Amino acid sequence: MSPQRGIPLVTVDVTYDVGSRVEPPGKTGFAHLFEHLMFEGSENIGKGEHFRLVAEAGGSMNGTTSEDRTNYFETLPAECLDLGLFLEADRMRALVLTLEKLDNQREAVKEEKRLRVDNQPYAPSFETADALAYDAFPYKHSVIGSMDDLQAASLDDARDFYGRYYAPGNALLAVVGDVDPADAFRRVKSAFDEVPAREAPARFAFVEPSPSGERRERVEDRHAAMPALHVNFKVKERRHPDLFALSVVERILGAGETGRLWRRLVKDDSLALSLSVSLDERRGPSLFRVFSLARPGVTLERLEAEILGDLERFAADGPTPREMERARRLLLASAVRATQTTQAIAFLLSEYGLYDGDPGLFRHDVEAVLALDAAAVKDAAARLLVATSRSVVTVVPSEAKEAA
Amino acid sequence: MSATRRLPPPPSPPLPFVLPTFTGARLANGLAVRAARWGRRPTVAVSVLFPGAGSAADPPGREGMAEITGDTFLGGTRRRDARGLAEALDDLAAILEVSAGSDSSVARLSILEKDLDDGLALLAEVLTESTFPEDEFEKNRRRQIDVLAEQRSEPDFLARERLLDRLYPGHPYGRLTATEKGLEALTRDEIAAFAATRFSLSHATLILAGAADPDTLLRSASRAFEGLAAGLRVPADTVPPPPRIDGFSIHLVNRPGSVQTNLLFARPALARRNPRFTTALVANQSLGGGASSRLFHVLREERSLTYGAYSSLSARVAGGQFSASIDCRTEVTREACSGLFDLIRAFAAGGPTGEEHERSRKYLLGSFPIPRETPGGVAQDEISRLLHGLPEDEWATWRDRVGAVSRQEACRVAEDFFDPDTGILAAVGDAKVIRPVLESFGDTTLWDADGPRA
Repeated sequence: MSPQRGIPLVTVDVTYDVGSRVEPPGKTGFAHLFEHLMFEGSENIGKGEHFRLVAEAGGSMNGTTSEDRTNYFETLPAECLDLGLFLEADRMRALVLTLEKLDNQREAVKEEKRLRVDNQPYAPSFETADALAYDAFPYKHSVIGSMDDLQAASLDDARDFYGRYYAPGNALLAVVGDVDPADAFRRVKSAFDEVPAREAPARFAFVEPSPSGERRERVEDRHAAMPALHVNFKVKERRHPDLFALSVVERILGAGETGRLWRRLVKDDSLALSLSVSLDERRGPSLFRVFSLARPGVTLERLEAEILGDLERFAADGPTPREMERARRLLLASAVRATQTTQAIAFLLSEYGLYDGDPGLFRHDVEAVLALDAAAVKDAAARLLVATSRSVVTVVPSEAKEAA
Repeated sequence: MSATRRLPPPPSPPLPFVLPTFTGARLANGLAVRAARWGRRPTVAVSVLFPGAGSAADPPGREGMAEITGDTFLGGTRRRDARGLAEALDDLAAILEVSAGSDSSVARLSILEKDLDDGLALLAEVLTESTFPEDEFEKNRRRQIDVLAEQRSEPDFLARERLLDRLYPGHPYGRLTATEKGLEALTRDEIAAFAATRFSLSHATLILAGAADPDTLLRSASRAFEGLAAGLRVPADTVPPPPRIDGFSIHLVNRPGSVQTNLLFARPALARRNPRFTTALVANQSLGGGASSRLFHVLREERSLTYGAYSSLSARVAGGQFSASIDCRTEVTREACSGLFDLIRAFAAGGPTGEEHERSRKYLLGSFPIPRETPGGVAQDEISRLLHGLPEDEWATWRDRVGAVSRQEACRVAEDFFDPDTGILAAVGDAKVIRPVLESFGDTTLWDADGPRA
């Protein structure tokens, strides 16, 4: 519960400890498909009614599924807090599943996969990059899953999944906004008291083998206009000290107007059309990602050599004092910018609350990163951004163009 | 569903949402300043609105002028080169961009409140001392040409580009972005001249919203901007009214191997200043504004044809359009196309049901605070108010006007502006499969990703 007074809005967020990582082979995409079913009605809510009730209240709502968790949220006028709690409690207690709903949402999700992945340039290559970087199945497969697995999903699968993962003890409720905490707690209690306790699943755990040497793959992309390159490094889990240091590396190499890789390759030397550096932080092994589109006339060999050369130089020389200071300022400013809305605060608190049992760790982590010195950052780059943990995917436009 | 179905709980007494009041001032050089205290975090959203400096002012044959001018403001100033400028911005953890819309360009600065004075000084330097170095201009221009080639691989870009081109033929609103030809022809001196004549402070408004009282914001603004030159007189040209569209036509952009068909329809509708615009927003909400609206409900939730189907209104200074879209797997293009148009046609003829209309009004009234939670949100309100020449109390009275829209008015506006028998349908997909399908809906012209088919 985080009171944010002044603007009469409230975000209600329920985050369940289930993501695509729990899916076994043959069931890929199911966690996300199930997220769709959660909007299709429960004991007291008919099909389509969830959307209508939230709209009539003047709210916005959605759900998202990641590798590590699934969340459901409404941002509502503060006086409609009870509605958000009612909707969440009702679908936690008594979701109504039918084959008709499953078939309907199966098609919606397949269409979503076509829209976001299959019909877009480069999007399929991100699936290839994850499959190459990871050995264990949980992170090796994509959240959206495969068409075959989506097609095979059954109503029994949905019932089992709900029973197993949608227990109250496997979820965290966040209420953020213009509320009086004592009053809001009373309302929460009244709404969720009737959700019976169910056995919560054991904490999910899996073993990802240690990095064992560079991996490479080449893919053709019929929708891509330019060649592209993924350079990924498999690293430790979120909140590991290595990740704090890598979050500084990420900023110095890729953030703002001066991020080294972006500035040199995109702006100064015009070798790349775009370049992003990102730390994909997960509850298990995470990825330090570089993704770049080559400019026409620049080979992927050249682009890769330039990127790796810059990474090596950074690992050898470390950051300058000015870069360290800038990275700290960027971190503080982005922490301010990332906590401007009740929804953004709810997401942040929920993940820390669910994963770590302490929503307040967000502040701790900001402090931990601010306390790092240049030597620690250099050490992390030298130790972690190495060939052994590297996977490289080259994306080449396929030539075949057909006439209409 | 149980027999003793429990009803959703009613709301508590409503809490008032009061928008901030903008305080105004005008500096000696003519720059108007508007400031308001807003937001929960120690940050300030700063915008400078330059009306008339958008892509509609690109001279013929120089399409991309406003866009490249905006990019090249960060190419260097009299005091520092591009890298020096980048370092100065990052030292403040500031985000600054100058971006071109069709009717205006806007410089946007996001800055922590404690760094406001330094941030404003840097913004003033960029806007009045930029040197538009030849090499930086050249790099931006070349990059933009390559960006265009990349964008032509994205179905959404292709649909929107072709739609605007056919909805506004020969008109400045008919372009989604720069063109390769225009970019090739541009010179450094031309963009420097464009900046000098279109980005004059005397014609601009500086808007500040953030975690300080308006007087403090105004004082900071005048410290940074008051000694600066007014700039040249901005040409008083106006964008002509969009050309009239007769009938309905289909424009298919061939994208071999597409597994989906993207359908995007639009027709002329209302300019933002039209008093019926608000009524049209209420009506549109019932048809296609969200997940509880008719298009989404029927085409996705009932008929399993799509991931999402929506409609919207967009308004520019000289005109506006009503749009509707659906993306579907190639095999059901016929069902999706007829489904979309049948629903729009029925809505244009009959308008919303009483229940739909009530829900739309309630949604628009209740959700009003959500996009206005941040300083950037209320700054955007002020930008659109000024750009479209709306009254001072536009946003303060907006909910009263939405609340007063009757179902009959919503029906009339739907009849006048949503009828799909006039308009353009842009389609992107695998032409060898969907061309015959589309031809059964109307005259279909085939295009390639980069333009007319030879």
